[in-house]
Amino acid sequence: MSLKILYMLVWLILVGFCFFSLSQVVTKIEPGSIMVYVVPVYGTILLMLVMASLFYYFTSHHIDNLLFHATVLAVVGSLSFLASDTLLAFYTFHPDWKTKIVSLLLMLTYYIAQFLIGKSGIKTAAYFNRPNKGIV
Amino acid sequence: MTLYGDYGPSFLVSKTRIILDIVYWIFAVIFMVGDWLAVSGVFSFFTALTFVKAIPIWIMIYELWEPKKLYQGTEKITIGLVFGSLGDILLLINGFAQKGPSPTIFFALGALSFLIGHIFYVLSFL
Repeated sequence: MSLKILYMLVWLILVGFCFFSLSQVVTKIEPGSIMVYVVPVYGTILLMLVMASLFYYFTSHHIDNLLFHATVLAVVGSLSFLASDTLLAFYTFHPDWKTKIVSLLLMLTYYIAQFLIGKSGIKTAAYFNRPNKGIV
Repeated sequence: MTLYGDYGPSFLVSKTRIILDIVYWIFAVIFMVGDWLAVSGVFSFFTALTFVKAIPIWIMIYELWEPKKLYQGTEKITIGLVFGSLGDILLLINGFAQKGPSPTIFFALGALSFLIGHIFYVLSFL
């Protein structure tokens, strides 16, 4: 029960964060540009990515130590993606955010995200192919 | 518990994988240094360093090549990474093509490529 409440709470925080970020960025995009449509769709898919990784965590972390590591890596990786892409949107469309430090942070979080999601996949594959598979 | 797990197939503890992880971060740092020091609109040594942007992603694709045969979710992550590296290249082109404050069509295409990649990541987690 407490996990369900936590899941709902995280969901609400993430939706609130995405709505706030989108409202800040979309108003800065040149009217009539294709990006007015691309950015909200992208934001929705990004939110889905984080929620899918949280779903993976909440449904699988308790099964096995390897899966626990895989799910945590997936959650941290997808949150890094959320941070990276939010920074990229602000860097590209918001003049006040076009700084070297934002560019550095967005690339750092991007490489962390790709690394952790890749490692999560490797760990999951290891779980499904472990020598003692099926033995509880 | 080590970084790669105490048990599981040999590919988890492979020395090659550890070296590839180190190379991944070396190229990532090379790109970030180049991106930090390059001056917009002026081609220099540091601008050339930014050409390595997608190499860390290709290294991760290589790392996932073996386990992708063992679990279907890993295959989807690999496809997601391929679209991610394509997005990297398109955003890099946008960086050179963009003259004013508005991004070019390459930015939209790069975003589309990342979007497809994210959909594959979502599918791998479900």
